[in-house]
Amino acid sequence: MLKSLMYKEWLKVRWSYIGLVLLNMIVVINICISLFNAFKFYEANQVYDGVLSWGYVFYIDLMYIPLATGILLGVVQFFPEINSSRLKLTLHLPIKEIKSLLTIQWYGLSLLMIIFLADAVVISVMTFAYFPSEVVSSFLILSLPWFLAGLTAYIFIALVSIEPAWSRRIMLAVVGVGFVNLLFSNIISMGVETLFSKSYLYFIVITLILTLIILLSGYNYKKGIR
Amino acid sequence: MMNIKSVKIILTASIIFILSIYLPDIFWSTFRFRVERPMVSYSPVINDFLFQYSGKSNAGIKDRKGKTYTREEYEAVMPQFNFAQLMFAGKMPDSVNGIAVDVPLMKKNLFQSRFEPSTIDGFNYMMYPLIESQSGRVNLEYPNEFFIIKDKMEIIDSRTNKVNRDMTEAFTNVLKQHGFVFPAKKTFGNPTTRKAFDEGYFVIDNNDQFFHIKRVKGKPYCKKIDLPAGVNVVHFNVHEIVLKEFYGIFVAENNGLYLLTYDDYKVIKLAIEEYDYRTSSIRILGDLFNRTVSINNENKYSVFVLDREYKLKDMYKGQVLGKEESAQGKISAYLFPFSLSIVSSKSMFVNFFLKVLDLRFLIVNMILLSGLIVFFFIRKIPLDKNIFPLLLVCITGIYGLISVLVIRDFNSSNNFKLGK
Amino acid sequence: MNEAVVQVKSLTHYYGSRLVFEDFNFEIKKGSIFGLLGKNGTGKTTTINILNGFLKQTSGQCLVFGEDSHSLSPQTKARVGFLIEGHIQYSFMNIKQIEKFYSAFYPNWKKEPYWELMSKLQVTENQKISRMSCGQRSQVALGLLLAQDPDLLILDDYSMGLDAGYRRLFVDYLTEYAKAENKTIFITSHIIQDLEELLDDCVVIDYRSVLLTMPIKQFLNEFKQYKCDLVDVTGGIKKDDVIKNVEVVKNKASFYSFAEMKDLENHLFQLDIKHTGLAQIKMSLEDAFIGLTGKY
Repeated sequence: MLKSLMYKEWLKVRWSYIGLVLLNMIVVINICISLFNAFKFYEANQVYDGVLSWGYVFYIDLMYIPLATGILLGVVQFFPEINSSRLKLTLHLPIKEIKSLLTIQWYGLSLLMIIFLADAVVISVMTFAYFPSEVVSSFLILSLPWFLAGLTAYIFIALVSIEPAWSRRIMLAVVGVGFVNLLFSNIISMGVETLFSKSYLYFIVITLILTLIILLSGYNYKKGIR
Repeated sequence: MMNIKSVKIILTASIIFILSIYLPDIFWSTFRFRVERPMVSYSPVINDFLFQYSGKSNAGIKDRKGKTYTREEYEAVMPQFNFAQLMFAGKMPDSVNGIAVDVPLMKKNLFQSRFEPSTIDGFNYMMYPLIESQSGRVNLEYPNEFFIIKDKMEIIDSRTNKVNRDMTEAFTNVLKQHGFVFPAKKTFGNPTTRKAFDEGYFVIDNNDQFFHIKRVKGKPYCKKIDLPAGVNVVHFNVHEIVLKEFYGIFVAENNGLYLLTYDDYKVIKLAIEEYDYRTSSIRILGDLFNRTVSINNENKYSVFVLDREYKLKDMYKGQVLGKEESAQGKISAYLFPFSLSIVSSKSMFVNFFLKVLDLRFLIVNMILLSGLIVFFFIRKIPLDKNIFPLLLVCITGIYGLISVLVIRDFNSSNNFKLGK
Repeated sequence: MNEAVVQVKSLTHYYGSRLVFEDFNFEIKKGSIFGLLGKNGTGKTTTINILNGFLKQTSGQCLVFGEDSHSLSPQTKARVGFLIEGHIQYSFMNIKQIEKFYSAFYPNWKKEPYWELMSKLQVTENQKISRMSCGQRSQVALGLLLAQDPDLLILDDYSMGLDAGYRRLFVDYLTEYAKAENKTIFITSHIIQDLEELLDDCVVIDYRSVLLTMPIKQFLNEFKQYKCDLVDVTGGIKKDDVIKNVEVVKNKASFYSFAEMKDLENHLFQLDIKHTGLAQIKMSLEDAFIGLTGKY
């Protein structure tokens, strides 16, 4: 039954998902090309100098892409459910509501993680061709919060869509923006260097915990607006 | 298993988490507070401190006795830092304090060094260009080889991204011979060719031993530096300056500030106090006559002046109105039971920085609690069935109140949940 | 004794401070085709939402197959078929995909009735639901319900947006379905004319109150319309226990009442309403409904 549910989600999002994959690949390939060009037009040691000593982030174009991807997928997946109460159909299916809500959410999160993994792998491979592994690990640590931001934005779009009461929707939106903003702390202070290397595990755990709130939104949906 | 009560607690916790980060943030952005800390310099002409204030209320330059200085007067008593202007105005003196001076002499003796907590607790690749320090050419050349000291001193050719095995082996062996224990904890140096000469890198190994490593005529140079007992380097600023008095300045674990001299790597401890490398900012300014060390802390600042023999000549300790004592600070201490931040000026890393001052916020918490109780009365919500929100407001004050009011899930008297 | 498939006990609901209904009681027995009738805005959708677990009532109980309507077990949910107002479906799917999707959830899925209906529509397998007309969509919804073969069918205003042809089609299929396998059906509607042949029982609700709960046949037998000419047109005639509703146009009056003609005569005499030519008029279900609830 859960397979069928995932099949329905796939039917809903497949074209948009392909579009998002294309968007990510275009950005990522662009990054690879610009790195290639950097080594073509400049001396290798100059590029190393830029990256190692001056903190030049050659993959900065990636920064908001996961966020946009998460938001768009969330919209495409959840707005149709709420439009004309289609969520009622889903919740009426003979499965435990906890299972159906979590399945739908984790299906979307998995789709996102596939794209993000692809982004990370392509850039890592390209980086590893030109730089030692330390630069690759630095990329992974620096970009992880950007990917988490995409997942978090998706989660909150789902929450805001499902929650029926407007006052709570606004509250959830504010909290969602709050969490996403934290993940871009690299631009809040001190340029791009502010790093999550000491705390990334906590943020992964926080994101995991946030995936549970959908159960409350579903519960409120079933309570209706009074 | 999963029940709704636990999810509601998670949501409440999330709201409180976000509020405790952003409410204080918004508060301080709206009611900005600037520390009015003067820029302190020491004049060898008048042998006194000069305080430069740039605040709205008290801009101006004063000395310790309170005498004010105009901009020109200031420049006249600080010739070493204003020679361009003084020469332009034809006011450059021939001698200061009985010593004949000229611009090249003054320039040669000028240097500056800074240590910030966020640099010390910061990220660095620890991968540097292995500059040839004696190429036989007048200018340094930026090399193709970069190194990082991991399980060995790995030297990579940037053109191929491959390890140069010969060089790696050569350098690693020399390090081993000198007792280097891999991997390095930290490596310090100036990875630029825009300097007069190159002294290579200074490295802390895995046993907290201190080494000097250089590339000399293609070959490895390594020297184990014996520091006095109890002196462990935390951060080292390499200064490759024509003065050639010291390799650089370092901060130690014991919060001491040291020079690493050219005299067989002997160290000179600078006579300073009130320095904690984790929280203080420090600037060392050197000129022909003195070494002026300025240390800035949250609510105070200290300036120490040492002569060229490094004897303490003068010092000044000042207080500033800190954030906490300001009007905004006091209000925020009442309003916010705690504040959370994930960035800090003392570190480059994102982490969780919790600030709890004292318990005075309980007063405001009690006021908010009474407000909530009144709200319960008006909405006919029974108190005994809703202990959790009351307790939450008691402890987390304004954060708890906001989260309780937006989640709005109270138990009514007939065991049905009321909510809007 | 037939088991009660749906039990509504002392159901009360407020939207904020506005009362929708209070102490609402009714029971739907197995095999019955039950109608919830009322004008727009009287609380039909509220009742349906509570019944389907999408609205939590202020107080009272609503049981479906003995379980609280808010926490139906998956096994019970499989026995309940639900038609949402407007025939809402996953419109991004085509008719083949949607059948495949639902079939995975119901162990007793019978695809024949579904495809039989689809063949009558003369559309291809790849026909996207979003591109179908209202009537065609209603057939898809009906087909899916028949394929699911639920023991209880809840239809929230099946007639919305449908013309007469599709409405009749629906009623025909439902009747056949219900009788064939002793299924229970719960319908809400404000279009009464189609339901006369279909319903067994009904409950009629009005703003804030329940007007009656009884089998259709009994309703039509006992609720009567009388016409007469008024002699004295001055003075209004008020509703009361006997006179459930009254309409006066010029000097012609229509009375709606559960009383027998002679009891009405007595009552009018007591109220000193002079009249002539009192006669009973036969009513359809729709007439009776309007008579009970009023034209406004």
